[in-house]
Amino acid sequence: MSLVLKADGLFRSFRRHRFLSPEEVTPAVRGVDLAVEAGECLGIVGESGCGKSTLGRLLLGLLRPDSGTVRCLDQQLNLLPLSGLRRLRSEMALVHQNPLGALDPRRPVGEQIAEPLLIHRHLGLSARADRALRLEEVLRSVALDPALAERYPHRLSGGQRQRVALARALITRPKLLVLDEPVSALDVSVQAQILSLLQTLKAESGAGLVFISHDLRVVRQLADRVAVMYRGRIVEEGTTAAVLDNPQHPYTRLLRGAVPSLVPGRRIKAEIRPPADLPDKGCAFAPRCEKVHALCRSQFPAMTLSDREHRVACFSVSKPKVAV
Amino acid sequence: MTAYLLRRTLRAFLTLWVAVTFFFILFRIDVDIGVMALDLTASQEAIEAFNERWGFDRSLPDQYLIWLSGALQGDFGYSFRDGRPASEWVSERLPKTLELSLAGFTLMILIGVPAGLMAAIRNGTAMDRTIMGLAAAGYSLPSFVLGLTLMYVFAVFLQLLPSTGSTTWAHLVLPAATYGFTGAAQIARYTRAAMLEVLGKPYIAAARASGAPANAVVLEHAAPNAAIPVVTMLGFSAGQLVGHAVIVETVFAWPGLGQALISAVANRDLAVVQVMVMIFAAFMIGANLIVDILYGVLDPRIRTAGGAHG
Repeated sequence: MSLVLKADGLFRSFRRHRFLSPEEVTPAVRGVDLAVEAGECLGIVGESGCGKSTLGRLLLGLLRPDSGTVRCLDQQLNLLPLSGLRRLRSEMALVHQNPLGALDPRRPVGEQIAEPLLIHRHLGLSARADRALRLEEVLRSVALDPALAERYPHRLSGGQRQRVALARALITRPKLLVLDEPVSALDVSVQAQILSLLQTLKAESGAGLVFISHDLRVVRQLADRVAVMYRGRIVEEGTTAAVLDNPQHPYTRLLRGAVPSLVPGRRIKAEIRPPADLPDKGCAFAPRCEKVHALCRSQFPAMTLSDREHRVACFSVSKPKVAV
Repeated sequence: MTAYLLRRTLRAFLTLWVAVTFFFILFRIDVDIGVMALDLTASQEAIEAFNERWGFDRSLPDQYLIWLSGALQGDFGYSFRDGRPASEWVSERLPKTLELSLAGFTLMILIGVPAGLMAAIRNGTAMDRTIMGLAAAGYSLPSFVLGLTLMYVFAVFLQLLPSTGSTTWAHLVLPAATYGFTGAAQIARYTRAAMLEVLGKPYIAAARASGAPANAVVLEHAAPNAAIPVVTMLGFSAGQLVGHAVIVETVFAWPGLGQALISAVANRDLAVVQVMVMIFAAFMIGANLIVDILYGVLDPRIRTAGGAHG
């Protein structure tokens, strides 16, 4: 299979300059490696503030990493000239969480969906008739009535708006789609519709998907592989079944426990709030971890390399093999 | 859209009528105009003769009806001082005030909007902080201080421009600059805030992600959306233009309405004060009407509000 996206050693922190006081540095992404193949969906899960959205923006080259590289379709984003990056954007697309905020309130949605065709003239679909044809095609593919193209965003329902956002992302037939919490702002019934639409689109388009979500149930439906993120790092990664049904990392287990279950005794565990300060060294999860060792506080556990199906960064998993 | 315009226009006229009526009553309530207009040493006969001559001996509703029917025919009463129609004061002074206000307003937009845009695009940089620092200074500096400073530097010290009067175009420069700079500071702050808000919206990120060039993102996607609050602010400033001119006109001895208003108030020249207050109100209301119409143009949500279903 061909890789559509490969990220190596991504770091990114946000700095805030303050007058007469030390600079505030918030590390958001702290060393992420990942790869997405064509036709595959990688789910990225984690609690809010763990850096998933920042990671999404780094992957699309919307944000510059402090260090590390992103390769999309065999082109390294930070080495591309601006014109090349803009051209590559016809192959990459982003879908946002809040579908109303993601649409310009001042323009009819059809115009917004077709706009990328005008930006990317090299696709050869910039003529009015071609645009109209492609617009109708893409609206049908997201199951929207083409008559709605004339409407303004405020006159659409939440589900329709998210379909519009999807249509805009799909109009250039991208090879990589980053979906940042695409269903979390929707009602459960609408969620189900959009998810099944995404499943169809994934199968039909053959694009690589990065699906960012905090909702494990949603990720399970769509993702082939899952990466669990905690405080800027991927702590566990593998096939969806392996990670979600047989979680190894204590954090993934905590997340699994947070999904409401009908089985008595497996209901939500008491939430343990993450401490405000990130430990200087060692595993970021150590202050919350049940299985914490002395080693966890001084050293970050490397990913186990044994298995492509399932990799974990935790001493409680890897140590027994290393130690006596 | 037509219904919207009609409704707004009708409402504007109603507001003007209410404002004018309010001032008419306010100027007459519990005040012996004869005493005010003459002086405290005037004899009782003189005051009574004055009141009879100008109609102030009639009842308030009578006076109001007479004034209103006159006003509807363009007769706003006569000055106590020189007996000329009050409307003549306006027609004589208004062009000068408009000249100054429009020059100042144009300058305000030409400086304020680009400065605000620049600060928003370069948010957090030295450029942003410089522009905002200047804006804070311009915002907090009273216009008469700025006016006198400009006058000192350019008229007295450098002797490049005339200090007071209104005979040539050169006379317009300093008052218009005073006016423009003070207003531009406020507009720049507003434009920056509005732009920053819009630039943070996901649809701007979406436009960037779809590969739109940076300039197009700012000018075609962000600016039209940020224009709505800025137009509100500009409308507000435009409404106040004529009123604000009072200070600048006084500093630069500009023979406009503001100066005339001050002398009319000092002279207790009722009809003149009344017609000027009406003009100020009309400007404020007119500016608001224009803003309402512009909203309809800028924001399709308002334009289509009649047929919207949530």
